[in-house]
Amino acid sequence: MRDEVFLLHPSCLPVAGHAAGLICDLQRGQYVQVPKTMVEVLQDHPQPTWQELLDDYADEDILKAYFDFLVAKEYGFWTTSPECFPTKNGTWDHPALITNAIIDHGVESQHDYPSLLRQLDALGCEQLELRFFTAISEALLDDILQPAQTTDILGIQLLLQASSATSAGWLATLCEKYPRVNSITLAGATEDGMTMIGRRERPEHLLAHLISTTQVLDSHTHCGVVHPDYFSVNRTAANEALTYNSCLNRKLGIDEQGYIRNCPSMPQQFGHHREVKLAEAIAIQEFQKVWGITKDQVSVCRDCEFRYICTDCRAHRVEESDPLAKPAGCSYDPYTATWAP
Amino acid sequence: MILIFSNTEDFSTHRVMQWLKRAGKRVLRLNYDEPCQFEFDFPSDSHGPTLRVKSVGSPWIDLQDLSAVWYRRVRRVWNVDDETYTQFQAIQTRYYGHSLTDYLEAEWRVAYDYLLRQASQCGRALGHPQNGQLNKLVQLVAAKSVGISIPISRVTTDANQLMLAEDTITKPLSDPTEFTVADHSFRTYTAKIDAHWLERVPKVLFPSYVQEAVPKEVELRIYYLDGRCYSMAIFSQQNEQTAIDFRQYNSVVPNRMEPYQLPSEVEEKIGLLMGQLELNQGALDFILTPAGEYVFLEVNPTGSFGMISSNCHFPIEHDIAEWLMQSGN
Repeated sequence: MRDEVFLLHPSCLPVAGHAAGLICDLQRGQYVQVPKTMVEVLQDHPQPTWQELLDDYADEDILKAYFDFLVAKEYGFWTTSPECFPTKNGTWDHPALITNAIIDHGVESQHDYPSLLRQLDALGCEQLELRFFTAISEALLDDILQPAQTTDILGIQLLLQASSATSAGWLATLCEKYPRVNSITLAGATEDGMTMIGRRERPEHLLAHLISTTQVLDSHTHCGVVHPDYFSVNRTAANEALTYNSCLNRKLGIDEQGYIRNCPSMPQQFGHHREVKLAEAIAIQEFQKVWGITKDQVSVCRDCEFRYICTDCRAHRVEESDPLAKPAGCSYDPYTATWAP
Repeated sequence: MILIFSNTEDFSTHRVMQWLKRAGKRVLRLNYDEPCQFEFDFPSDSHGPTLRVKSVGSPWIDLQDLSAVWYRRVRRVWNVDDETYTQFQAIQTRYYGHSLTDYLEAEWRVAYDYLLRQASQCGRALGHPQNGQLNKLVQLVAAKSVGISIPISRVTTDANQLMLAEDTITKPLSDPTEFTVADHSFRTYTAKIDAHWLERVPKVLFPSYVQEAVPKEVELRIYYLDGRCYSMAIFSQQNEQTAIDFRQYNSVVPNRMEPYQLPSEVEEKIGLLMGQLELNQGALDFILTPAGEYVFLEVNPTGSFGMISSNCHFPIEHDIAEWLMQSGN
C-alpha cells in the first residue's frame, strides 16, 4: 500500500502576503485569509505525505488543524494516486487580440462608432464598456447599439448620466431591444441601488444589472478603485493575472477626444482612431508592453496576498513617475494586513 | 469555408469561431433554432446535385466550397418562427384534431437530413450527421467488447426483476429530459430505487432501465477529440445531493471539478470504443470506483465540453478549431 499524499485542488490557489496568507477558491468564487505559515507549508510541500510534514514541523497539533481545515473546506484531499490529478494549470490564452474595450464619450466627442465597432469585432472584442459623461440622445444610442447586434461582442456595459429621460421603463425597453447590454450604471442618481431589468420571461442570468449611484461620474478620473467588491475570484481571471496585467491585458481604450490608448486614463496615446487603424495601434510594441506587468512586479502589491484576484490600475498610481507603483485607489496595507478606513 | 451546425445559445461554438476568426477562416454557423434557407438543385445531366444554404444575414454558401463541417448541435425537431408554420398551426387548432404541423415538420426533416448528410461529403467532419443520439444499449455492449468495465445492467418489463443488486439505480434509456407539471419542474435524473416504490408499481412495467449502483471515488467526464482525451474529475461523493447524479447541482457549494489524467491504457480503450461506434468526438461518463476500476456509463456524441474546458483550463475550443483547419483526408 502506497502512502497517501496531500494534493491541493488546482482551483485553490494559496498566496502568501507579507503579513497574511490567502487561499483563493477560484471555482467557488471565494477567498479566505489563513495564517501565512499554512501557505508556506503548502508551497514548500507540493505533494507531502503526513510523515514528511511531521518531519519538517514539530507542532503536530497545528499541522493537524491546518490539514483538517483544508480537507473540510474541500481545498484539497489525500490520495494514493497523485499521478492522476495534474496540479499545473495551462497558461492563459484567448482567441481575441483585444478582449475588452472602453470608449469614453464627452460633450465634444465625434467618434466614428460604426468603424470602431467593426474594427473591435474583427479583433475579437467580447466586452465593451461605453461611458457617456454627458447626456446623450436616444437616436445616438440606437446608432451605436444597433450595429453591435450583428457583431461577436457578447456584453455591453453602459454608463449613463441620470436625467428625466433615463426612467427605469425606458432603460428596460433599451435592454429588451439590445440584449447584449448586460449592465447599466446611472451616475448622479437620487439614490444608490441595484436591480435587475429586462424582459420578464428571460432567465435571470440574461437580465441586465441596473446600478444607480449618487456619485458624480463625469470623467475617466473616477476609475481605478481597488476594493474587495471588485476582486475577480475566478479561474480565468486569476490565471490571466499570473502572467499578465489584470486590468490592461488585451484592453483598448478610446478617450473622449478619440485617441487610442491602453485605457482612457493611460498617459500615452497611440494615434487618433480616425487616422490610425486599431489593429495598427495595438501592434506597436509599446502598446503591448503594459500587458505583461504582473502584480509580482508592482511594488507593495508584490507583498500582498490579494495580488492574483486584484483588479489593479496602471493609470492612477501613488508614485506618478514610477510605472510599477501601487494603485492610488488602493487603501490596503499588506504589511499590517489592514484596510485604511 | 467551414460549416458549423449549432444553436444560438451555444457558447462553445462562439469560442471555436473566435479561434477560426483569428486564423482568418470563413465560417457559416447554422443554428437549428433560427431560420435557414436551402436551395438544392438536381440537374438532368451528368452533374451531381448542387446544394446552397444560408443563415440570417449570411451570404449563400455552396456546399462544394466546404473544407470541414462540425456537427456541434443537431436537432430534428422544428422550433423556428416561420410564417407557413404559424398559419398551419392556426388552421390545425381551428379545424383538425390531428396534427397538420407534423406534416410540415416531416417535410423539413427530409430537406435538413439531406443537408446534414451531404455536408459530410467535404471529407473532414467532426461529429456525425446521424449519430446525434446513439443507442445506450449498443454503447454498453461496445464498451464491454473493447475491455471496458460496465455496470451490471438490465432492461425489464417485470417489476420483480428491477432490483439487480442491493443498491440499484434507474435512469432513462433515451436522452435526459425535463417537463413541467403544475409549476413544478422535473428532470429525468438518475435515481436510486427505494424498496417502498416497488409496492406501488404495476407488475408489468413500461420497459425500465436499471443498473447496479457503482460506488464512486470520483465521477469522470471526458471529452474525446479524434484520439485525444480531456478528462475532468467531479468530486461528487462528498455531497449527498449529487452522490447519485452530479447534475443535481448544488449551487451553494458546487462539486469540485478538476483536471484528471487517465491511465494511458484506459485512453487507448476509449479510442477503440469510439472507433467501434464510428465517433470522432463525444463526451463520455465514467465512474472511478474506490477500488480503482474505471466503469463506463455512457457516451453522448454531441455532449457538452464547455464545463470541462472552463474548469480544467483545457484548450479544447482551440484544438477543435485547429482540427477543423487541418486539411481533409
